[in-house]
Amino acid sequence: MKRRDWLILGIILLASLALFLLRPRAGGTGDTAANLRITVPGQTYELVALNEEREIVIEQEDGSRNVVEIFPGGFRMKESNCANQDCVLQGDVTVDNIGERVLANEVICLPHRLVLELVTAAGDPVEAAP
Amino acid sequence: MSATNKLTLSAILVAVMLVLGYMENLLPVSPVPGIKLGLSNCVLLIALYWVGIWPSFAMMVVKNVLLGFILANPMMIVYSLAGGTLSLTVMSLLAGRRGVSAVGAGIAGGVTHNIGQVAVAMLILQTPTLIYYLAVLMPVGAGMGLITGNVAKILMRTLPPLKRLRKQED
Repeated sequence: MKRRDWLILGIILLASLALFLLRPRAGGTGDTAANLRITVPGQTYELVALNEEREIVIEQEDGSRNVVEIFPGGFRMKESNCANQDCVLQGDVTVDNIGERVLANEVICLPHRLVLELVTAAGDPVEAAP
Repeated sequence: MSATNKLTLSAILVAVMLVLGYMENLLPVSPVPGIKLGLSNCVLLIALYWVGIWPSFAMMVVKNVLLGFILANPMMIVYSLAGGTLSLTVMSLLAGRRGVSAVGAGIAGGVTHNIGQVAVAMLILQTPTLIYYLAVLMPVGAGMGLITGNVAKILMRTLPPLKRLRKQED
């Protein structure tokens, strides 16, 4: 590794540290009621309160189909007919585990342009439990 | 290197990238989307040093389009073209500069590949908060770039047939 190689590496690590420190936190209203926000291209559904067990099927015109399983306090992508299955592998999102998840409060299905977010009743990202 | 040599070498390198890309796809998927070794980055680095900038761009486009069809994942083409274009632009600016080795170019290439992909995802999904995902992806991309950069450096020193090919022009 030459001198400027280290410089490049240093800049990158500093930039990611800055992003990490700047990442958004919820306003600290103490509102931990968990809701699910589903976003597909050009459309945001109403918030779904996570207080019961059921499945939500999201079908889009292009034939893409996702099944979201919700349960008290969280949700997960149960099925998707997309190619890479990344969204299914992202597992459960609950108020307790978003601190450890890389994508925090989100599950994203890139091929279907579908975003699931765990939010408060006001629509803010749920704050990670300390 | 004659035009025929260049064309042949480029074709071989594209074939190598396709195989590497296909094999990478067989590896177990990480729970964190967007993370992969990016072995074809190492081939592109060698192409930059040995074949030149414009053939490298052509190779990157051909590889990403073909791999998208091979893996039957057309959406992937958009993401990998965005990542590949940004990454190759940055690598071509860095490669061969004084004080920058293939390792530095590889690191910058790995990271900017992730940046390009996240940028497209932000646009397509209209989710600006995705930018903070880069806090995780950038160090990972740097680590992967460190690996691929070193592999490229070693390969460029040791690849015997290509070395002979290059000697012919001198």
